[in-house]
Amino acid sequence: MARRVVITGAGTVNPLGSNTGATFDSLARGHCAIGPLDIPDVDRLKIKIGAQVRDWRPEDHFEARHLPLLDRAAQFALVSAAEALAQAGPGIPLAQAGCILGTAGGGLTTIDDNYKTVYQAGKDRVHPLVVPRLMPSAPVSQISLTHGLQGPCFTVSSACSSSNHAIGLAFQMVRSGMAPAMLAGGAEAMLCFGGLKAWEALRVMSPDGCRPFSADRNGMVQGEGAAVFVLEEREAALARGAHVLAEVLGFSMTSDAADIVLPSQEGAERVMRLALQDAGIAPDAIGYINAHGTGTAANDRIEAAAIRGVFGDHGPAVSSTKSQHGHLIGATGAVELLACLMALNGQIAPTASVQDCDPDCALDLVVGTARKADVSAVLTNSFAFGGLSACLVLGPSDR
Amino acid sequence: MNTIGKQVAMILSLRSGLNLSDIRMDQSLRDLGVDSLVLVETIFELEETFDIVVPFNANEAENSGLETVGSVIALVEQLVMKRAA
Repeated sequence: MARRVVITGAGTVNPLGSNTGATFDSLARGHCAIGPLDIPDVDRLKIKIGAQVRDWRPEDHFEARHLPLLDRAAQFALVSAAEALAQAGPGIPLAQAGCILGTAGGGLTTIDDNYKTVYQAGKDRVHPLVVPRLMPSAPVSQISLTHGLQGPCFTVSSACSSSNHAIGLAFQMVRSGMAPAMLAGGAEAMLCFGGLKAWEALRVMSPDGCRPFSADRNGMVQGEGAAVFVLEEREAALARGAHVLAEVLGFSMTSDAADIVLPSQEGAERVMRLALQDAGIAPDAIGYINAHGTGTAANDRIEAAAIRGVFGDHGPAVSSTKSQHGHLIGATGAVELLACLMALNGQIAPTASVQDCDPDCALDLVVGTARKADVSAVLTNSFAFGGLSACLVLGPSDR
Repeated sequence: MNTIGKQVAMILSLRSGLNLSDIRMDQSLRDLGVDSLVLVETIFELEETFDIVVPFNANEAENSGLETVGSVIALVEQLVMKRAA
């Protein structure tokens, strides 16, 4: 029999805050963490804004002897995992538990730094731990080592859907009984010169802000950070007295098989319907959708049409919190799941920076400030380059 | 067609897969089969060939001045002149 799966812990480091409390506060205020980029060689970039984790001091979190092994993404992931496990409390069978994280760039900053060392600075030697530091699976392995997780541990990479795939797979493992508990989420840190050069070449980045579904939107803005959640079997969580944050009700994943960059309306509708079907609920049970909402002309128009296709012209409240924390690429779904938890607690995070909604994106868009709402189920969308889509449906803790 | 025009037409021919002789000044890039991805590749090639910077954001493509073969050539000529000035 399929087990019910609940979330009992959450942790994060992202541009809105270096823990969940600060992030919830920022989300509720509609705070925009996008600003001028503070990175080396920014003057050579055309796109000079981003959502950075500012004032990050690794030495506050890690011993100096450990830092050579920890790319920025791994640092964010480890701090997030520690917060999530602390919140989940004692009694989780960690030796049987696992960890799945999503990332798109892996240790891209480490790669960038070391290419500079050998190609630009002309040195013939790099630090001996470059490989275990840059490997995309490093954050998962570091979490496994730190907390003694001996179950299924690996990284998934599906561009902007990576986190939703990671959380969805962890959900399925707990639901099927393969693992009693899983840590899942995503980590990303590619706000480096090389990473941003590649992105700006695509000509989809905004030079001045992320305004999803807005009439004057002109592209996406990149962010960085991580979020990690503890998923476990509901009965076991209740038996050990854990505080349940939400229940994971359903998951879907599909591929459009249509275009390497453009999303497909038909594909977006299909993956949302499959998530509802997996959750066993009707469209009208959803009270909030955390949209993929990148702020690009194409995504937002197609996603809005797909939402109307599934939910009708009077569908649920929608927001894109990328307007606040930027697009964390492989970690974005994980940070956006925090906005879903907030919605289940009665407060919908707004889409920031929107003055006039695009008539072509007709939705019940929450803008400006948070909206109070009694939400019984939420849907969160991730639609990645390559047509790889993944949706999660969450319900309240006491369903 | 001047030298710049011929070079631009050559790039569009290669990118679209059409014969050079089939490329006309009044044709839209859409009619040449230039989709969004081919367009950014074409712009990159124009920038590399002529040592120019083409201001282009795919989210505002309709106002880019890159609608037809003729308008692409005119924009490149303008940017080459600006570079030389």
